[in-house]
Amino acid sequence: MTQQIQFDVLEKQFEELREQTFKKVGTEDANYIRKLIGFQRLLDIVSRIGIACAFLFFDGYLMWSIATLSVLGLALSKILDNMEIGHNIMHGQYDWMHDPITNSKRFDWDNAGDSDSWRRYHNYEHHTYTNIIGKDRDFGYGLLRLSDNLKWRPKNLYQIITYLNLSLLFEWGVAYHELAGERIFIGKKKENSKLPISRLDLRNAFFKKAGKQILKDYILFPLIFWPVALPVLCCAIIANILRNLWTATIIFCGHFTEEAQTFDEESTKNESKGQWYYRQILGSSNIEGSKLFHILTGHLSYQVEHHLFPDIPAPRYQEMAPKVQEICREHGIPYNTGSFGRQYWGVFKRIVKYSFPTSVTSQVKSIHN
Amino acid sequence: MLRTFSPKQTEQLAHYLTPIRQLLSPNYKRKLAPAKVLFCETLDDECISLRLKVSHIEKLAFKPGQHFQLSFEINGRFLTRTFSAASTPKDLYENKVVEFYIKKIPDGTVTSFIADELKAGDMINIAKAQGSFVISDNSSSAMQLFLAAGSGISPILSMLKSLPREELTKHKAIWYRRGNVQSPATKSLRLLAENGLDLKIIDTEINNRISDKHLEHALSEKSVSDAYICGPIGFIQTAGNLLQQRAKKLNQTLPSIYSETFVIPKISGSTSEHTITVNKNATATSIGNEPILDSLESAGHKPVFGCRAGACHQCSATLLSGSVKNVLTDQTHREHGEKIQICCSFAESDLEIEIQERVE
Repeated sequence: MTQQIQFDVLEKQFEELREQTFKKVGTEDANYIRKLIGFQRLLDIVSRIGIACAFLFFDGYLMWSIATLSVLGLALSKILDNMEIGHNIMHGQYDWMHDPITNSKRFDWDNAGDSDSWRRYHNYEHHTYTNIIGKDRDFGYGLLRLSDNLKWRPKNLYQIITYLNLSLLFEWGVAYHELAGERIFIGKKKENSKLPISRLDLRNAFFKKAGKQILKDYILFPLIFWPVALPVLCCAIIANILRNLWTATIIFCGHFTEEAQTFDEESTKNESKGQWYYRQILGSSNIEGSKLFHILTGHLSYQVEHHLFPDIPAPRYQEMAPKVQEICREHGIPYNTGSFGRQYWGVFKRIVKYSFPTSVTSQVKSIHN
Repeated sequence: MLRTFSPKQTEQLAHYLTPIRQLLSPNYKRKLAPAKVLFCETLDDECISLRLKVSHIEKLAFKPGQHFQLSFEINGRFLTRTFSAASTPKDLYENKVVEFYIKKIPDGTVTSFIADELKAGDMINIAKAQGSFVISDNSSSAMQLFLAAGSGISPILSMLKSLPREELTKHKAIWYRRGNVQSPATKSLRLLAENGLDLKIIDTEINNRISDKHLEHALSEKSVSDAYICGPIGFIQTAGNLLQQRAKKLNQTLPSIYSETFVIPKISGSTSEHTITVNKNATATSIGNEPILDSLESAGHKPVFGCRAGACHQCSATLLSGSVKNVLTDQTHREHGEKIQICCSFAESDLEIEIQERVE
């Protein structure tokens, strides 16, 4: 590092930016999220009916076109629901509205993961201990080796395939994540568990939500449109896979690009808020793109801003980004941003790179210098 | 093929579909009726009269003296306040109108919004009437006394206007208020007086607050059968005591007292200690210089928490009453039902909150 970072100044600058932005939050944000939810739910219903109608009343070229459009519509609805709507609402970004529709504790998404469970490990574990090896289980999801701090194992040789499978089944990864961490089904019971509910409750919540999702997508809707149950079922599977691929890709680009840094537990033990901000920047990467692209990523393309200010309504990240960049420049902190292609290539290279055993010299960033 | 939905599923479905309906009518809120502002005017920067046109008459049926919850969207936030109707059920059935006389509270988010920004043509929401401050069914033919302080006149007006004209002459009303603004409430009262009501309006800027002398002057030695009192809690207590003492002194049967109070939010300094009532029974003492979460833990509670830095919203609790300050956002929260982050919020008054506790 070329210059010593003044963490207390950094902290003050980010707190100021946070306050400035919060002051602007109001009617505009409320109207945006309400309209988007309305649009997404309409799209959900229209797409599901569209899929059934395509196979019920059309054939040949028309059938395939309508079915394709409807599947894309359903996938889009699920992407909007999971990212720009669900992810952001469940972060508490819209709790100030006092509207049951946008209440973080009440919201449930079109995803196999139980939303209470997600709120626990994502909002807390991942957002507090971002990229701290051993504490943030989101780093590699316990499946991938993406840093030298993790011991190489033979299974890492084919981790590019593990990665592809994880992407295809991403919602199940989201659903199973906390249960894996708590070793609910396999492995030794986690010591010092901070789980605020009982292990049985966690297991039940998993089955309840997963069951509900399977019932809805793979049983109820196919049954409603019985004569075309099989194509309806297949279309739901395709839409879910498309959504899984998209969300996994965006999230990998936000955290596992080449330059995204990792930290060890020791060096972050007594970190100040300023140091926390610093770590959030180093552990995240942004993706450049159009307005529509940002909406489709739930503004997680502004991963840096999201990690700095997880509960500010995400559409505000765009206007915060230049100011964050400015502050980073002032302190000489690297601000990781790039095109989708560049960031994705970085992710790919990282997964491949750490498939092979590397020197054990620790490259862990100590932020206390 | 599909069996009927259970109530919970119906609820979930309705909840899911609400945003679609809101695309078409942005003011639609589930379980609430829409209301259109017909008239909204503020006199003397204090007395607001708000007249609403409603469409769902059956849902909003009320008895004189009852109150409604009015909800407003203020800069994207949905805020609810309770106000007593000053109009009568007759106005509702014949003209679909409900009227409120509201006192503007300086620094009050909602009343300031009504006074400064709400205008005719705006849409707000109204929920069904509630409240037990109504004319008693077994009210005798003897004299009834109506006592009001400030905006407490609203439910009393609704009661008085609903009485048959021939009954008005038997009753007395005393209204304590500050200043002498000719508000719509004053006009309505004068009209009632012309129809035979024995009315006294006492300006508290000139006269003192309610006293034995006022009652003596107004009632001489007549016996009061029922007294309807509306105002701040202190007013109700004093008035009630005075009426009982008076009845004893004159050897009369004690009057039946019906009362309703309204709360004016109070904010005290942030350095003193406050009592926090948790989940309706247990209490904890908050110390001004520590977050609510810490105080709760010191008192043996085990609230769910996460980052303890205001980022993750895991510790989100429901505020039932009181005032807290979030030091991260620098916002003060006073709304009933508002979600507060207890790890970065400090108590500014005694609190009632609902928290989720950890299961060990």
